[in-house]
Amino acid sequence: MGFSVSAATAIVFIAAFVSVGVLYSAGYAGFEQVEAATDAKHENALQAQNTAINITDVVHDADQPVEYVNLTVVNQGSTTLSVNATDVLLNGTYQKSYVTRTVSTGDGTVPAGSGGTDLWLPGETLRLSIQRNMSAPIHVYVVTETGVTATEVSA
Amino acid sequence: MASVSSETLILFIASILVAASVAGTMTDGVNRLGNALSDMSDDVSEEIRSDIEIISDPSSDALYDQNNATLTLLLKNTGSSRLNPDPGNVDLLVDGTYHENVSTAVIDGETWQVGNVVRLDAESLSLASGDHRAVVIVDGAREVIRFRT
Repeated sequence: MGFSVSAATAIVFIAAFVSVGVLYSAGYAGFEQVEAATDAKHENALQAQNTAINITDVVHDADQPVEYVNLTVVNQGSTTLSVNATDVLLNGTYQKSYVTRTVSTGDGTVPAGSGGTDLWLPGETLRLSIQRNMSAPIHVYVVTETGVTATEVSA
Repeated sequence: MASVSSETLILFIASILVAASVAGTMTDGVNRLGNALSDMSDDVSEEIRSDIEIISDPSSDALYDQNNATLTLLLKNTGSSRLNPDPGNVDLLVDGTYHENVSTAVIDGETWQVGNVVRLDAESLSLASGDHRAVVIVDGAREVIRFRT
């Protein structure tokens, strides 16, 4: 009688300790995962706060057989943006391809987008040339990867 | 040590068996709880990482096509993880009513990575002229767009 009580208690205690260990590891791993996700979300929010773009020029060249629209956008914030992740909507329609995309850096103008630089650093100007027949007025919507948008209407 | 009777031995074995089965049930239950906790934190962290923005121009005619009764929305992934663009994973409510007939397509890539845009077409959607409100929900990220037709 005496020894079996001790043995049974010992078995149950060992099982209790193992359970606490399993629960604690699972709980802590889960907490770390949620904390990492929250940190990523806060980081994104800070990036969005620091993003600012301004469309300085919209030129509609209607003299060509196929019309051109040339946009000039300046990165006025302190976030480095991605040229490939920047979206342009002209009169609500998503623009999938561009004739040329260039970024004017401190060392001159370089090609941007696929086959060129993807970085649009703070202070740099992105010039986009789009070939499309448009009817005036043109509503231009430029969206960065952080979700910050700039809009301009040109006659 | 004095020799023990067989009854004591049987009782000893029985009590050890009971203790072992209690211990086994307890660790089994705790294991299941640990797995459930793991799954729950996976889901919660995915939801936290999901974020979209509706980048459609609400003032343009390209938003709602009266002739085809189709509403087209552009959704940009602004979160920190890849999203699933299947129509079953994207919920659309127009003026408070759930709309089932939706199709999706990633327009600037293969998958809906961070920074990519998905076009959501809601077909057979007849909207009277006036103000409307569309709500898109993807993996817990909810965005609203208000427009006029």
